[in-house]
Amino acid sequence: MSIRKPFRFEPLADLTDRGKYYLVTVDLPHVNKENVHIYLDGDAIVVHAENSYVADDGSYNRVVYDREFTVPEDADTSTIKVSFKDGILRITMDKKREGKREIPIR
Amino acid sequence: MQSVTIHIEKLQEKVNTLFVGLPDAGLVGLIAANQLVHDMKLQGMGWIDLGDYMPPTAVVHSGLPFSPVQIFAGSGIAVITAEVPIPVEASKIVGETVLSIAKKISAKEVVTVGGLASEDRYEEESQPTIYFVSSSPEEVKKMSDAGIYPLDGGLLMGVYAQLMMGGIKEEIPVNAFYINAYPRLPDPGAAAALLTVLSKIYPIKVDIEGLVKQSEEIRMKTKQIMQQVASVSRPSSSFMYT
Repeated sequence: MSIRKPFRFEPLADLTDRGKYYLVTVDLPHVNKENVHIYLDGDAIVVHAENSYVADDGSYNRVVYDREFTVPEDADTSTIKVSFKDGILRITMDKKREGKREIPIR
Repeated sequence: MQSVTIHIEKLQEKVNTLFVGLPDAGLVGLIAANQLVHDMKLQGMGWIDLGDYMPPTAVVHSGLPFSPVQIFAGSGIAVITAEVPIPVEASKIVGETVLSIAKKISAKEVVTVGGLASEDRYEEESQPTIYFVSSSPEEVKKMSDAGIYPLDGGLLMGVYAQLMMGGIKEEIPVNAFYINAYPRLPDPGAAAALLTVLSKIYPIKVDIEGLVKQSEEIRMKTKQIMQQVASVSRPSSSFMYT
């Protein structure tokens, strides 16, 4: 069996403002949950994932996905939640709440 | 003057419905059209050459080159699909060309399938909604009675808009089905939901379960097309008022 150099891809992704929170969606088809890693690195969220398979010609192939997102300034990274279903990674983070205060009329 | 050319073989059988599925939000149109071609074993019967509207482009399948805009037919239907986004400046002429093909093959109606970019769709439990637009008021009423919502308000742009307005002028009914789809990711799930509804309205047979099972495979294969669509879709996409 031959081993090929890994294919490196930037996965398709989207970062959307959902009002009270942000949602990052990353497309990672055929990747197992165990092979998905998410890191918080300064003001960036880093997604690294890997997938390996044996091709029809018997060769062993590795696919590596890397993608980095800048965390929006008003995002509260302590609220980050991650889910992974059917090859789609979803990362949510709440927006920081400033608190409501009344502004007096002069 | 720029022009497009139709290369079409003589049809062996009657075509009632011409389906059109182009790359758009979630690639719904392309995925649905490909599924129809595959599951109904349609045969390639021609292609549209976009001439100077597109740099020379050929898509390769199993070592053979094909035009990016293909025409398939069989089992009483025809399908036009594209594997590259249609350039905005070619929208009008491609819409007119599709209608001229519909006339040439004596299709009784044109049905377009497409995605409406919706960020709500990214939510894990989201269920896409289907919307309907028709050049015929009677069709709008028929679909409303069947529980398919007419698109309340919005703007159609690009090939489908040209088809809709051309359909009124040429008196060929044009029915457009849209479904909420991922704006920047391929969405085979939305295509499956749309085909499920279409298979109750039109005489088509599609393996919905197979499509859902192959969802991840399709997303892998269509990644590049999605990237191209996402980079050009903003000015030409259709949307609904919310």
